[in-house]
Amino acid sequence: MKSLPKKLSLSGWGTEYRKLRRDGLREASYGGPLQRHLSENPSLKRFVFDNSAASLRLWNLLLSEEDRLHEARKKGTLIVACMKDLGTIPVMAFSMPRSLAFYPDGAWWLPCLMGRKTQVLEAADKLGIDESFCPVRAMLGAFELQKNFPMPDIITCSSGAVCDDFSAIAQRLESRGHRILWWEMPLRRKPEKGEKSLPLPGGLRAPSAQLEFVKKELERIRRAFSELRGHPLSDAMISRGIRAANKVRKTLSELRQIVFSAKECPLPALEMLIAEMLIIHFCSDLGEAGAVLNELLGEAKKRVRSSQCVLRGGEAKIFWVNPVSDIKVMNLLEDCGGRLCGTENMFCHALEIIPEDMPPIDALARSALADPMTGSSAERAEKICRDAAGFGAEALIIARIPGASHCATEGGVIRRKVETSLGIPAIELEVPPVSDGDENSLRTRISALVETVERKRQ
Amino acid sequence: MLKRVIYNCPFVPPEWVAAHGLQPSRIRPEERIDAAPKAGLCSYAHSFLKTALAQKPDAIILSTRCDQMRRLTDSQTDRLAIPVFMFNVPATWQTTDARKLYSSELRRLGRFLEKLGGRSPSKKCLSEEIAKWDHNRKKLCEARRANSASHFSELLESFHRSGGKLPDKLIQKKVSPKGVSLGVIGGPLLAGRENILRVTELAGGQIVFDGTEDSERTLPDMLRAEKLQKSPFEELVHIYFDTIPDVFRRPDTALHEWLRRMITMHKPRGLVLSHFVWCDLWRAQISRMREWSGLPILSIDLSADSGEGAKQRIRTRLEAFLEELA
Repeated sequence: MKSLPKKLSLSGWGTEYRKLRRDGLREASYGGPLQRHLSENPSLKRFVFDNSAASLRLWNLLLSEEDRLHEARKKGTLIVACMKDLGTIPVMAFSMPRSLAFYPDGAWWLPCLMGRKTQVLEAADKLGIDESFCPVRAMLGAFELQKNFPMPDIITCSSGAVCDDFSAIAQRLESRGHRILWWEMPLRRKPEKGEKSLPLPGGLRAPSAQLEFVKKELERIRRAFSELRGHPLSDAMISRGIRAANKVRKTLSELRQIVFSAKECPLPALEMLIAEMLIIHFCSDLGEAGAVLNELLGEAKKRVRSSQCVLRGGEAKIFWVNPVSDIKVMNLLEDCGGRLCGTENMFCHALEIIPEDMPPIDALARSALADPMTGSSAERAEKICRDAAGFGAEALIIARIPGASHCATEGGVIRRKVETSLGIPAIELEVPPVSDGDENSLRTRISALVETVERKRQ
Repeated sequence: MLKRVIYNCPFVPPEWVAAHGLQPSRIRPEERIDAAPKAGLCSYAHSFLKTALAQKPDAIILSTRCDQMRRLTDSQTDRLAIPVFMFNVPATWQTTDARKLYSSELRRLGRFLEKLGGRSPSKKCLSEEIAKWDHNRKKLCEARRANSASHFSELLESFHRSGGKLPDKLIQKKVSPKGVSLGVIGGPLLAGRENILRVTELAGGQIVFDGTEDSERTLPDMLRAEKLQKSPFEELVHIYFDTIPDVFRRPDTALHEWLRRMITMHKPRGLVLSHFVWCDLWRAQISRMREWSGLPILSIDLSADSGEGAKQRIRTRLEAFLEELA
């Protein structure tokens, strides 16, 4: 008999795993009990997890990335590190044969997963990148220690309209001997009166000249990839890559729609955050990322069909803005009586379908230019309002990333827009890389927001 | 009376603004203790915008060199009564496309200035304006060695603020080579006499080169007469985009090459790196410059709103640093 949806501690997963095995669980090559990751990731004990086989597969994909990358290196797979760009260059990398993209910035989760076992932050400290910088500095430490992933064959990093903290950290990385292929992302501006403009995914528009510029930048990356691989990266190959990426994006989009708009919550916030993060670089395996999301979608549909809920029911519907470097906060949201009901984790452009009816570089350039962080905070706030209204969110939380240059001002713009347009309450929270010390204050603030929602319902 | 356009970015050519018949005015923000910015917000960006607005110019030009400045402006757009132009200065510089992007941004700025009431400059007018500014900058730079670093910085400030007028007195105070030799590098300065250069000199340092944002480091390169004649616009792009070494560029090779040249030429005993509290771009340079230069580096956190106590703290730290070097 299958278990009803519930949340489990890591130790609770032992019994659940045995039960799933008895019931005929079929696993991917990276499958196995969740506890096997504990020695490498001692802080897994801090979390509570969804009890489905689909979620187990999601966690196993996430936590096996390091092993899979080392395995790929042994097999001679070309490893492309895509920094800062959230979702465009990985599509190009996966379009090449025997190549994969990975996302070094993702190292910012290492402290919250590995605790003191990782020394990435200490290594970044030694290079002068201390805790006053964005927690993505963990990436610098990871490169320095060379323990968390194999050294890539090429590193790309977008510059220009990006946050200063990331740009500074990436430059520090280059100074340590890691050559970076910098590419320029211009500040997306509104077309001037009479200026030719083109549509972008997500209902945005950009001046044609900016689009032409980004296309040339992507062509530069295409040339670099082709040289490295010793084989031209053709339009046909990129088009195939786009179709494959779109398939995964469609699955995620459906998953988000079902989970965020369900009457009661079918999947927990923590698993939804990780599922969403897969879309940036497919956790180094495009095929498996698609399969994992499909399974999660199946599970969510099944739970919705049978009116099963993973939480108690009746939770305050919260729209979440910006990713958190300590994912435990997603558990905390639910502990406080909230549920995730929409997100904008700085890469909503990676959730949009890449156009398939135009030359592939054109399509990718449009996708890249739709990045919410390259445009104005006001445009981002408008999109957040549309999505929050669409999912019926009752409140909004903006997670401030410590030290990040965009966080000092954008929160105010988003909050004002949400409060005036939607009339729902919004708060800003700062979430450090390991939030245990701040848990009480975070809990108090989230609980107060939930109470506000509950009062408004009465 | 000419319309006044305020800016602070060294990649905005004042010649271009002047050629449009407007008065460019590059300002340094004033120290402010009345309204502290919220946590995480750069006090320089905050003070610059406040100072610029208080001066009631006809327009403000800002740039994407600094993400905080870009975002602060962005957050205020709907409340600003003054037209603001956001100049997209590319961070990359190795490609002709990045250069073309800079050129196209200059053209876009031109259209903005015309909307403000400026005129479209003829080739001759632009050429003359560029030559005039170049001539005055040369005159100014000739006075560099005769002035202390802080006095020369004041001359530069006056030159930029006034729209390119040479100060009446180019030698303010003869410099006497004494004290511990120091190089200063870092971000922008605040208005007023008590900036980091002045405080360093008062503490007993002899500044042998100034690499702060408002210094000779960010002046455009000298003109090439032939090229100017052929295409003044292209030459303008060249002297700004191709030559100014800056911290936001990717990669930032030119900044380090510039510093290496200065260290070789002037042999300072130490470096002072001044930056505002939330300036990631400069703060990330400290350990790197320390690594390759082998010089002791004192990092000074500046704040535009921290009052006398902070100034005392900076003076004390500088004195201690100089004592160590002496």
